[in-house]
Amino acid sequence: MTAQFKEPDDLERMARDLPPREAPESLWPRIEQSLREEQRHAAERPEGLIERIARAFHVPAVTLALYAVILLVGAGMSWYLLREYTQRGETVVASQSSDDMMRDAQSDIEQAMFYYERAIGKLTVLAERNEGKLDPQFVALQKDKIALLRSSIDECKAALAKNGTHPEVQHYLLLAYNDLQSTLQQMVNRAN
Amino acid sequence: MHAGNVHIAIAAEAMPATPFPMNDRLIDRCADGDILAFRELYDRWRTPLYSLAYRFHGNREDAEDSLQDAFVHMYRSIGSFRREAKFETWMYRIVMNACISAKRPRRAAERGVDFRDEARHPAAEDPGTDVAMQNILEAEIGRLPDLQRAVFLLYAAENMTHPEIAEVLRIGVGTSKSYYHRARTTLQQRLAQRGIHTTETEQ
Repeated sequence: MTAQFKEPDDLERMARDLPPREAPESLWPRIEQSLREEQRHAAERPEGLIERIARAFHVPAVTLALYAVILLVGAGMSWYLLREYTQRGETVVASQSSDDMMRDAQSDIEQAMFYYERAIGKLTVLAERNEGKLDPQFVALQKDKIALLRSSIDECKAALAKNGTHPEVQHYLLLAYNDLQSTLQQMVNRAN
Repeated sequence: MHAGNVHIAIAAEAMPATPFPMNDRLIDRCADGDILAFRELYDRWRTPLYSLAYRFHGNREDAEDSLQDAFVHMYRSIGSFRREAKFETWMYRIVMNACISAKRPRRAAERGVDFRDEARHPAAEDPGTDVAMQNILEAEIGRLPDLQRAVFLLYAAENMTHPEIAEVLRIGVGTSKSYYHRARTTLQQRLAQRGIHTTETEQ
């Protein structure tokens, strides 16, 4: 049974020298009959999905069933926790007062303005660098447009300074930002 | 040789390697429910497994029943045998489980030759002869508690190591060593009472 040698003592030697016992000839027919009965029972009982998978992967069906249970419990818990988390987020929004929500909305608009201005600043630098590559007439037209849009933006910002939550002013300001950003983008694109 | 003074010479020799290597093809055929493959498996292993079961139970009937149960169990579960494990370990585990769980009380009248009966009645023949000594040893092994007997047979007769026995019987290596030590001490004492003195080497 083993490749690891050990020093036998008297007792082990005696035990190892015990003569082999021969299985009686009648034993195999008994075993064969039991195996055939097993075969018949197995054929009568349809093999379940888990048993088939277990056989394919050479693992006991019980182990596979256990893994399946662990997986299902894990998936169930994940779904439950995610659902809890999502519901909690929705509850936080729902439990906010109107004033808080208005402040949040205003803060979001201010953030949008900030990011627009930052993008416009970068595009302006790029457009000025590439002016030389463009048709001077086109540049002149674009510059007029840019100047107009900048004055509109300044007017909107001045109006918002008086009434920061005026929706129409906010709308026009964001439109002007968007227009200015696309005009600058157009200049850069044409130059390249 | 006189009955009261029997000493056995020690001759350390290389342990034989497993003479019945299993191949994956045969295991595959068995896993597919091929009874002829099981017949081949049985033919390869029947003598060592039957000898082990016989020595464990001490009688023919229980040994046959255990081996039959073990083969039916193998038939059912060989499909889930993991190839990285040693086939022999897996098979011995099934046989030992069948032996240990088949501790059905059998009426004396149902038993065939039971060497445990022999242990209670001193051998009529001179214990100096090999056959008599073997009979006495088998009888005394049969009187050991189940797990001690299982560990002793696997270690001494089947030449397994303690880690292998631990795997077969699903016990700790330390437990295996402890059972073996107790079994050996008991056997040495009982054999000495019957005029057979053994010497031991350090474990």
